[in-house]
Amino acid sequence: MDISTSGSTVTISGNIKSVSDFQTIKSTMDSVVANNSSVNLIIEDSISITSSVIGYLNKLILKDGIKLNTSVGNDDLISLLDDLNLSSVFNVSKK
Amino acid sequence: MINANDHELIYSHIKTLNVLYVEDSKVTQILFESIAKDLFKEIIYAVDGIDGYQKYLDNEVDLIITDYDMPHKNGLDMVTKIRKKDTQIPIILVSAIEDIDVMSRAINLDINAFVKKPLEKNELLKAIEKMAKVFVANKFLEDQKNQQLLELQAKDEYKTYQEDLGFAKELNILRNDFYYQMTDFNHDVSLLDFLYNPLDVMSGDAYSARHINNDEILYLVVDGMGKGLSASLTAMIFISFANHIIDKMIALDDFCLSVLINETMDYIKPILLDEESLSVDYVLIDYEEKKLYYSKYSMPPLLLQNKQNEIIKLKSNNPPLSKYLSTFNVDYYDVKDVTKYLIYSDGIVENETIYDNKPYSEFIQDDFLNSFTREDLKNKFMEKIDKQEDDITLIFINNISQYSNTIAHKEFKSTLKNLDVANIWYEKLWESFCICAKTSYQASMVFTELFMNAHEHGNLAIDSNLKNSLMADDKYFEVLSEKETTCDKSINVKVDKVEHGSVSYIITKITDEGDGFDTQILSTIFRNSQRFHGRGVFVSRKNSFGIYYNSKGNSVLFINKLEESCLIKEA
Repeated sequence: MDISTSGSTVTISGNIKSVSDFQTIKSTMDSVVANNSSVNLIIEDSISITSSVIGYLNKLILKDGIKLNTSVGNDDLISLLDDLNLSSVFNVSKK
Repeated sequence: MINANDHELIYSHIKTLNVLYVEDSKVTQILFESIAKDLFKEIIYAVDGIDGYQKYLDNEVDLIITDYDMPHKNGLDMVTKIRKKDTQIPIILVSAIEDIDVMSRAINLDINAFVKKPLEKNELLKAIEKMAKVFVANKFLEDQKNQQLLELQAKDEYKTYQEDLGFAKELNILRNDFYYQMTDFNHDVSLLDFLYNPLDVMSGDAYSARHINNDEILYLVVDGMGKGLSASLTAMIFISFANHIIDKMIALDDFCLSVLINETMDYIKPILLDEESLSVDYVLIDYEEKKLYYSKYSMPPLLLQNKQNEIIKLKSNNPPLSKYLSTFNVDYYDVKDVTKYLIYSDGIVENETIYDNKPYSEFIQDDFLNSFTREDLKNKFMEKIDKQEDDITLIFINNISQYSNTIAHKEFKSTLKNLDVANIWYEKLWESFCICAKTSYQASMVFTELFMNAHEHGNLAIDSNLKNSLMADDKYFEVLSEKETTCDKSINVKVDKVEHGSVSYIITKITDEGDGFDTQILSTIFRNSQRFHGRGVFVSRKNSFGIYYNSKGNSVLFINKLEESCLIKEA
């Protein structure tokens, strides 16, 4: 998995899977939300997502009040987020 | 005859209308204004057909009153253009002309009323009233239609709500002690899968799977005669009563299949209608004695597969259960060599297939033989049918101990750091036999989730609520590290590869040393994934071919299916 940032946009490419991936996503997002109240997260091609990343994003939105827009490239991941009723919470759109 | 109330209603409606009055004669305009000035919400004046059409476009017009004979463009030429945009707006034609061609054209343009020139107050009011009546009648009909729609919507919502409640109750009545479980009696690991697909919310099918003791499991499948509410009521009360008796027997440690059959028959017989009958399967598997006891009442044959890949059919040994049945048979079969079991109601076998409308009964044996799990069988069934025609209930049991072909076995000390180590080890293992990136990723995804669960929930005993609160406070990994310092537990991973026809199944088992958990809470996740925080298990199920916990809840096994094209060919 690779992660990059540009302003308030965080782009993840490759599959999200390990705890290290989660920790990388967390530390990157933490640094972005330190200066932005709104974040655009682009998950380019990951097929799935770990529960720890879901939990972290949930906390950013519901506890820290961050406005998140999530742009997802893979249909399986869109369907998974929808099954978990997270499409509206994460403001999911098809990339 | 218009009464006072109608008159008031009509004129109050006229007062809400914007009228477009098209007339070139200033005198007639003044006359019209003297008659109509307080009648309408607004009068928009136009002096000819061109002006009239433009004002029609520029304003919200409800009614048009137009002269016929005007310079530039006459009234009917203007109406022709307006009708191309709006076929419904009411139009009154005011004219001195009685030419039959003009009248015929006007009728063809759906002019709604005619008023002769010179204008007379009564005649004009009569025409306007006529238009307004149509308006009021249409509005009344529209209101009625909306009201009916609202009532239907409310009725539908109520029905849906009741059906949801009914189905939730139904799921409470059906008892499955093995929800997402494997059985591991005497080191014999069997995967238990259930398919319960009612056609209606209130199903004529019911089932239960009960953990009687450390050696025995009882399976019950009931199929009420016919379809609909009566069949559903019978099936539900039968299974509900049976479970009540079973609960008592388990509590007293005194289970007896014959007593259960006797009690349930005594209970249901007075309730059954004279011509009603019930198909039932009582199947008790004793894993210690390796015997299967069955008492089947006009149910389709129980299918067993032995180690030689032969199918054994155990046919019904009793007629259907009815008011008149007084005796029953219980037989047994030696299951030492049996590897797979299929218990099912007739819904699946009576379903028409797309192959010359043959019933699925002609295919079920082969499909069962070639299926490793319920998911396989379900897919094979769905491929052969156009639509599901009846309630479907089946129980698929696969004893996987026989397949034991361990390809990797490793123990990891329970630490967060080792999660990454284990992940890398697991990914490398997959790279050695699988070339499909997606399948490998999905397997490692499930591995990560379930290994993490084994570490945090199992060995470190952090429950979901604590985890969520620590995550919210951003202290989760800090607490995890602290707890790790006093934890001396391990996580055991065993990977088996099973070849089944042209496909292979990778069975990964992760066992922790924690206290386990009650797997019944998984039903909350899978019945409503949106209300529970156990998203890791949900994600795991989505990315695998099935997950199964042991009865203690400290060991989980998941399966990934590998098509032939995914396998690395051995040299």
